[in-house]
Amino acid sequence: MSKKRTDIEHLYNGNYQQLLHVARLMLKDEEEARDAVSDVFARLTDGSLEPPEEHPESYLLVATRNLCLDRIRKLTIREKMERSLTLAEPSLTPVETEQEQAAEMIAYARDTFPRQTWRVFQLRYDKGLKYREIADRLDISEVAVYKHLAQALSRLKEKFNPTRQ
Amino acid sequence: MKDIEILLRMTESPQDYTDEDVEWMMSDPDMRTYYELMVSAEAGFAQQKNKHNHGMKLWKAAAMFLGIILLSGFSFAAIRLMQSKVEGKLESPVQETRISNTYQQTEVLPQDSIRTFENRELEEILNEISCFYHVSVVFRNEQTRHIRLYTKWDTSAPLSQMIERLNSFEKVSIRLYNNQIIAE
Repeated sequence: MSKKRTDIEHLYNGNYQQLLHVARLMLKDEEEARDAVSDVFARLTDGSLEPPEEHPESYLLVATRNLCLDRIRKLTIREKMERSLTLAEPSLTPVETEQEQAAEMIAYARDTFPRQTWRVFQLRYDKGLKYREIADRLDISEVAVYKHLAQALSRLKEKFNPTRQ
Repeated sequence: MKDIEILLRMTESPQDYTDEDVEWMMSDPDMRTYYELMVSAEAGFAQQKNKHNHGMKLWKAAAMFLGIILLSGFSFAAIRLMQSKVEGKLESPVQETRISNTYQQTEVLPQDSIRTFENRELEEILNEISCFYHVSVVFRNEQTRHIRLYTKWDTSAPLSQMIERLNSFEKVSIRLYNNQIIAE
């Protein structure tokens, strides 16, 4: 039993950061990510997860991912929106394609949006400012902020028109 | 326009709306598309930040390394100068040891994004990679699972780069299709 505990501690020390990184990316919530990784190790301790002796890292990654997916599935649409999570089924969304499209989208926005529209877009989705804060910073009305963002989103939709589940 | 404004308000403060309100809004395909564009935009900016931070870490590591090398060089020159002014034998072997110790102490900061696979089976490697990039893996040939490789994986790079790297091995033939890594 104590050897098992030592093994689990060893796995924890060697893998915790990487597992936490994956959980953070998926759940976009620090507390929940730590909770999910703790859950993985709790299941290791109680025996409901049994990694192979050789190279258990992959097993732990898959277990973490699956636990995170379970948590995401239980969220309501509103809760997903609160975390800016995609509403698409994760298993059907190739991450690399998403990453490439996201990068292309930012480049397109930067290169083609009118200056003020780009500024508003950047302040909202890069800096995470609220609309009131953007309006104050740029010395424009909140209505103008909405108009710029609506224009930005319309342009992006026209260009990329992503089809999602 | 008006619907987009409602969506914008909703995404800024979802807690101000009921689940039903949000579901109703997201049942509209256009509104859903706009929402996913917002999610992608945030992800795109976050990716840029990560790459920038990673690049800055490398620059800092390189700068520290060069700085320490320079200091070591000055130290070496100072020691030689001092010793040349002192009567008696120079203890060259000891000096060399000191200098080599100094160099040994200089470490390039570890690149956190580099993962090394040492003599690992392709199945283990692809399982770990697929989990990280959120894709699945399919092996068309059972023997392919057990091919052993020594390779490095830059977790900050796109999946396509790692696939290209793995395909450089003679016995490995993998491709990405939809959300699957297919190993022939």
